[in-house]
Amino acid sequence: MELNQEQLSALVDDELEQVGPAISRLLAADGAADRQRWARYHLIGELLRDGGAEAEAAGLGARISQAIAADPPLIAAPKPAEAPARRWLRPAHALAASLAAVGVFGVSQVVSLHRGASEFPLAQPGSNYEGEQGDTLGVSASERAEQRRRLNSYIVNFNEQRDSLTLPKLHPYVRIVGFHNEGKP
Amino acid sequence: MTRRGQLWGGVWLVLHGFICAPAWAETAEALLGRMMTSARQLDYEGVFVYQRGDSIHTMRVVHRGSGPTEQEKLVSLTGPVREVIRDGSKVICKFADRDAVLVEEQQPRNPMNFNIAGPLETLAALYRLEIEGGDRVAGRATQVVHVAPVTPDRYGYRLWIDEETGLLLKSTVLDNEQRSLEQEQFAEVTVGISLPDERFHSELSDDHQVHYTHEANAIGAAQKGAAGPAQDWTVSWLPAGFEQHHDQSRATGASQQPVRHFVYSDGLATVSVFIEKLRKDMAPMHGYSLVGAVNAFSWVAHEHQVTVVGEVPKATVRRIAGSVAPQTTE
Repeated sequence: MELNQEQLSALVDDELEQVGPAISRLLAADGAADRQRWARYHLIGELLRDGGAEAEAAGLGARISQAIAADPPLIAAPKPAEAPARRWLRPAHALAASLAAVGVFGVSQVVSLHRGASEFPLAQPGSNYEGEQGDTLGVSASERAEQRRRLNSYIVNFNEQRDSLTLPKLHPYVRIVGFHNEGKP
Repeated sequence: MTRRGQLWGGVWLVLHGFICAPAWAETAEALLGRMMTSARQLDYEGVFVYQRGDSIHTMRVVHRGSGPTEQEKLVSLTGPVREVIRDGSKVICKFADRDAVLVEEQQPRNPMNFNIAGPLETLAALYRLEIEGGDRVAGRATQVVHVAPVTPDRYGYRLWIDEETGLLLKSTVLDNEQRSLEQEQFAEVTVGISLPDERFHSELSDDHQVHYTHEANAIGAAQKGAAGPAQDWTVSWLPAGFEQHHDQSRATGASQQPVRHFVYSDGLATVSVFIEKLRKDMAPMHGYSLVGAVNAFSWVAHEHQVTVVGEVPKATVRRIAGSVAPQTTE
């Protein structure tokens, strides 16, 4: 913890040579995203140093509360080595994109998200939703299809176990036979 | 009518009630017990409607429980042509559309695994069981059992059980605000008929895709850590009454590396926890997904993909997922 405080303090005080060349490049950049990232680092440093009076003034608590309340739906978490952390904060896109990917690859699927039962957006026939989401997420179509297959596999396995363990409430396999991609005609 | 006449009239009505409507005398627990037996042992065929959200599907089912193995054929009558034929632990799924499910061999169902007495005893502590009265489904008299969870971390159910046979004719999964999440209801059903073998043969040609067929062994002892993720894992939070039934590691069709699979149940709801080592070529998942009343929540913990799937509210799958962690050695 001591080391982190020192590093962050150095960052805030422009003692960049102690932090390393990577952070120097970050601060030298003039993009909006980098400035936001810098502001976050500054806020963290302030929190570590004096308990966060400035953070409070910046409404950090309220924003955290909002984020928790938003309770994001499926997010395709970025691969740690490849994508910046802010991609974690893009709810719903990955799921909708992976839904649409099913049609492209003919991948089997169980999961269906339908209006009225979920807040998730649904890819509609003829829309370019998939492409838009794919671009913003940086998750390839093949990755989305792979996610889809994995999730299907989990749900099918769950379904089989459910049937042997509990009171029969629905016919076994009814969800599978009754599955219909509501995004298709 | 004289006073004596009124008295005998009353007695006759009471006796008639006992004779003609035995279901009145049954408790909710007894009805559920009968329902469990009937679901597997009766011979019946019928057409039912399955509804979830805005989508409605009609299916035909043929079921034989009187033979040496339990057999069932489920055929979609609306939407894409799909057929599932079960014969004991053998399952064949045929689909005419590529947009379908099941790309891998599945673990077998083991009917003998189900302990009728156990779940009912447990259920009484976790759910309020109440007979709401009579209703008609598919032209048959039913008793409606409302199964309401004591705590909001699981769903409730309303079950329409055939008075004569105990067959479940209609069921609804209810959220905590009593909204229907998923529903299945017979439109017509014939119980106790002779069903020849031909009725269980496939109606689809071999041109249809066979997505899935297996004849696997019964579920064996837990292969704990046999080939799964190197670490051992713990699930530190579960809703009251949930007990572990399985702990297995096995490769799946979607993932050739072993996936750890824990299964928990309270006798009515089931939750599965899947843990899989994240490889570099895997895109991590994080967040919710949904199919009918089944919620799933995925996240990454200690470089493993953790996914919890259950017939429970989304807050419950999320909380369970958050409690999954590698076991630490002291």
